[in-house]
Amino acid sequence: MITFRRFVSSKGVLIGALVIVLLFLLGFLGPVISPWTPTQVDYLSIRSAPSAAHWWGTNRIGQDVFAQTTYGLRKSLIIGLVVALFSTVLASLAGAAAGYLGGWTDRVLRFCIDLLLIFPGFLVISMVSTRLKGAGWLVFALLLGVLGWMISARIVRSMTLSLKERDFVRAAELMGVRRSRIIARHILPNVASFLIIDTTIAVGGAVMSETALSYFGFGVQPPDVSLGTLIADGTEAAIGYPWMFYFAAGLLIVFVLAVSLVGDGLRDALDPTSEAARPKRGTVTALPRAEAPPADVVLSVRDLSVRFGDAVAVDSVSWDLRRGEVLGVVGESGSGKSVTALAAMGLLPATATVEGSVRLGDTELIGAGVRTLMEVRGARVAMVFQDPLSAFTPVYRIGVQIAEALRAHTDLSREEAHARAVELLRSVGIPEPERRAESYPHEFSGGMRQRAMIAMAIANDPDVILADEPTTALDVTVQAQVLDLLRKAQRETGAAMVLVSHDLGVIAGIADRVAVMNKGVVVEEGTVEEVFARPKEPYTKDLLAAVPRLDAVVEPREPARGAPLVEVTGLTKTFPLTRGSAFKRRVGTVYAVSGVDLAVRPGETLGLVGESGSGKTTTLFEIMRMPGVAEDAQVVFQDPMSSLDPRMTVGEIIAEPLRARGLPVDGVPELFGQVGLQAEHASRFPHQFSGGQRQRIGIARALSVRPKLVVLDEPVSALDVTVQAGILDLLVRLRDELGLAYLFVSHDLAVVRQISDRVSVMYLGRTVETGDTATVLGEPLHPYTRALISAVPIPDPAVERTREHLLLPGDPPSPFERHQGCAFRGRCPVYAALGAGDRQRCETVPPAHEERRPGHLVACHFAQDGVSTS
Amino acid sequence: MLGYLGRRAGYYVVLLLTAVFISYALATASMNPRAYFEGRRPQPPAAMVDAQLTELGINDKVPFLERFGTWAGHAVTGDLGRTIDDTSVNDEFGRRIGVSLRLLILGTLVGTVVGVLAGAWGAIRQYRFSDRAVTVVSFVLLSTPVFLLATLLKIGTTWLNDNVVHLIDFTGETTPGLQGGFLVHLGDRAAHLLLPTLSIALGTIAAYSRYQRATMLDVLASDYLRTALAKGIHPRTAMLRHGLRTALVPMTTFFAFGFLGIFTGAAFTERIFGWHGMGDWFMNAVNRNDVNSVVAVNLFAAVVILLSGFVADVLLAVLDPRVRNA
Ligand SMILES: Nc1ncnc2c1ncn2[C@@H]1O[C@H](COP(=O)(O)OP(=O)(O)OP(=O)(O)O)[C@@H](O)[C@H]1O
Ligand code: SF4
Ligand SMILES: [Mg+2]
Repeated sequence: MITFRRFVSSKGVLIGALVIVLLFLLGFLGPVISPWTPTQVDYLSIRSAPSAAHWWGTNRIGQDVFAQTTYGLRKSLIIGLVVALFSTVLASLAGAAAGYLGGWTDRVLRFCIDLLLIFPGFLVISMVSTRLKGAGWLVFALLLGVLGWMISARIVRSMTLSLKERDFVRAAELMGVRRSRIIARHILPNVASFLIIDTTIAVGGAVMSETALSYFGFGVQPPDVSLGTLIADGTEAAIGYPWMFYFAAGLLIVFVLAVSLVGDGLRDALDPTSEAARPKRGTVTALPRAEAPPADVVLSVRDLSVRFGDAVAVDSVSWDLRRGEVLGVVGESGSGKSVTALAAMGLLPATATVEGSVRLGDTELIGAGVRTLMEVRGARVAMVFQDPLSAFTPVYRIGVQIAEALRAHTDLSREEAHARAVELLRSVGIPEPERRAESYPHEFSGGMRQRAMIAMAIANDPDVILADEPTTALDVTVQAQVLDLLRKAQRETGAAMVLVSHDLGVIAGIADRVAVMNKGVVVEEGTVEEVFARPKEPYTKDLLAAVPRLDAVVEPREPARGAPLVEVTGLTKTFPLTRGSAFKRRVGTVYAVSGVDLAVRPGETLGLVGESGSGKTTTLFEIMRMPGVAEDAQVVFQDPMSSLDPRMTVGEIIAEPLRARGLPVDGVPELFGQVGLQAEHASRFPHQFSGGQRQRIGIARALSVRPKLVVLDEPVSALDVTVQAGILDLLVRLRDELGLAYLFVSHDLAVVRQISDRVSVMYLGRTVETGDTATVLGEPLHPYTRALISAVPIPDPAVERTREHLLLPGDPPSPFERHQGCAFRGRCPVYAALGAGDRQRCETVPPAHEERRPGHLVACHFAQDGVSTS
Repeated sequence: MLGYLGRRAGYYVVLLLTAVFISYALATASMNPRAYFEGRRPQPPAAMVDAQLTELGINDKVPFLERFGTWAGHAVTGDLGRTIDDTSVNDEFGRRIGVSLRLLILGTLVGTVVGVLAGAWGAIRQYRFSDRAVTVVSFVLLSTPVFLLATLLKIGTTWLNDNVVHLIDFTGETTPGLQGGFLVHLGDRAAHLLLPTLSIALGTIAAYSRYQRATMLDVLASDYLRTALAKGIHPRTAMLRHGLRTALVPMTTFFAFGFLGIFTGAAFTERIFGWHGMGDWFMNAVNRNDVNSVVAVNLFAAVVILLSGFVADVLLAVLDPRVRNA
């Protein structure tokens, strides 16, 4: 495997392994080939230097140093191995039990670990050493093991905890796999690589502890010898008779060094993100250009190429950004959109090799010096990044971070910069900006963070704003707010903007021109109207054809009949909100779901939509836990990587639900074909498949036990549009062939429109509207549904730019509070327009989810006919 | 923040009390003070040995819990009992604690500060020769146990003193009978501190620099460092103000674990350089079956380790607003 090759290709590892082998040979053969035994005394040569008779000389009473040292080495090695194995076993058992079982087991174990940590092991061992005299080295070694497992146990515990949260463990639980089997098949194999490394490194540590204790007379007892006792004996004589000291001391250091080299190499080999796995440092070369860019072009990219090691990320990309225009850069994941933007700013990591030219006016940015880049960054070109949580330094207040951007380019004083930062926050619509400037990033919601990011970007009135997926991490109603703000900011500052996005709808709404990227190449460029209406390149055509549209017309299927497969009314689920690690205290309640009604009939697809945190996944898990449901239902998860155990072959993965029920597994090859995979690939591992193929594996696993209902949790959200289209087609085909019912959860209304017969909309843990897909999405009655629909961008500039957009204020409220009356009130435009008397109803009476028109249920006191979106 | 620290402190007190009880139990179970008295020549009569043991509160004929109760009753008033030579444990404690704390505090400070700086510097200079050199040196230091490092330093200095030029004296804390003013004495003390401090600090520097380098590398690849650079501040400022500052947060955890190693190393170092600190006391006491002294050192160890844990908690809360608000 690759990892093994990487492992042995490291020089340090090879040398280390070789040294370890040699030392073991020396320790185990030395005493055998030596003409002397360790305790034998040669009265004729006392303190004699190395010679033919005594290869490494003799000590102060005439014992042979070679015999003694090799014997001592063997003892130290054996003790080291015993200690390391014993403590690793203890650590993995304790850690896995504490992590997986939780509760009291966990608390007691953690207390024991902390207790052992405040007792230095050497104190304990020396204390009991008087009792151990005569008990032999094995007892000593076991004791060392008992006192040395805590830190590894902590690590195993936290690894287990995070594994428990992984989708593949949840998947196994939902399939009904037994706990013991989950620990054996899913938890331990995934902790194994850490344990191997840990044992290796622990051998070195154990040898160090053993020698130290023996040195001070608390470990191995004379006449037995170990490296520690030999070093102790030799210390006084080290200057006059170096051979009595340095052979033992040298072997000790060399052994531990070799072990840590191998341990480090193992870690690198098993960790794909380790330094050793990363490519080496790259170079940056500016290519000269034939002519200067035209006068109205502010930013001009020519023949830009970026490589990471051998992998080409961007291949000879060119585009121009004209004054005041918005250039949309669109493409699927990994097509090189972000890398292009970062290269322009000189912000790629040192591993990148960059070639080409990026001109900002007259300034060449590729290969520019630090001074030039500092003057450009933030002042003439500002950036807005995708994930606003990780893009702010977590330890500084928002106001300080914005002020820093100001002070980098002006000579404002600290106070002036702060005052200006508050103004900027106000201008991007942050309520109470004085107070909010004092907040830390984690205290902001996603939308507020992105507003603050935009405030920072416009702080120095830049010529160019580079926005890299500025709304991808946001909910669709918040995305609409932020896009609106970006548009305003761009118009007011007159800056030109590059907007990088994978979302054709976003581009359609905001861009003047668009560049389509695929595999590092710009395949097509033109005005947004042209490219969307008359795409020239096959890739662009495919892309446009693959995007699901909210305004698409979908033929309705026959209404489903029969008793529902599942049905819930008023479903609620709360989680305790806890604080503290040692003593968990309950500080509140998360009202994850507080009133969900839904029913799925045989053969029918119900789409469940809602923004993040609205309780969709909790609803699914609650439904799966209902008695009787698990027999007929199977789950497909959102992230196809994390829902497949990386250490199982896909054949085993697909067969797992069958095995859990004790059914025969001979139907598995057929399943491969059914989902469009090759049965020959059954022995491969998940990482050898693409994202779309992995999702097919997840679907095959769900189908293996012939369920009547498949619950799909955002099954296509992690996939690119073209891949997504393939999976949706597959789902439709399987549904028709097998007569399946789907409960299809998604935040993406366009996808839901395409596949669902009926739709159910959730807001803050409640069902607010349910009905036929065409009715709910075409004639929504609930104000939230209407806002949601209007916020979804339509990938067609002609439609998107003429649509009426209904912006909701604020963020979804917190699920930590109990809400009186209607939970949507704070953002509801209908409520805002009501008179005081009517408002009171919304404030005090929670609206019931009831039928307003045949088959169309709405939870709003003032539901009214909405405007159709198409 | 105060709530968070208060809870941690409460937990630590529970841990401490348990630790003290267990160490008392272990010490009484494994040591045999009776043998110490009976081993005297001429051998004292049994009744006298009994009387002596009872007087010191370590008579194994008294039930364990009763003995512990008596000891604990005194301990809560601040009296840690008598040593096996019938002197006050408190007095001995007072004499030795300063010696140990000097070494511990200096070793920790030097080790932490130099280690953090070396690690951060290595991360910034990744792929360069200097980073590799630091890496190699720290690997060698990490592979040398403290007792051996101290011994090697001692042997090396002795050799230099005898064969090249007399550099420094290092046995004990001071040169006995030294004449001269305040500065002479101060210099003498500093010279004596040098080798023991190095023995503890070198390994700590190596360990912390590895951790710091790793956390710093993570931070250097982070989105927020990119944002900081994108504002147009100097890369060096960004690395210090945004990079190093944030990379210090996870170090607080290593700091708590690392102190255990420093404590052990300091105990060994004292012994090797002839400092009469707590570690030296402990080893003597074990060899002489001096239960009360052994328990006193255990108490000291538990308290300083918990204190270091508490300092780590405070540092974490100071460094990370996310913890502070929790
Ligand atoms: N630091 C890096 N080291 C190695 N490879 C990288 C690095 N950054 C990006 N790449 C690779 O470069 C290619 C282009 O990546 P880029 O991030 O530009 O894609 P993108 O179009 O922005 O995708 P997404 O929509 O997922 O953001 C990908 O293959 C990616 O794996
Ligand atoms: S019940 Fe009132 S607040 Fe709630 S959605 Fe209807 S109008 Fe708005
Ligand atoms: Mg990107």
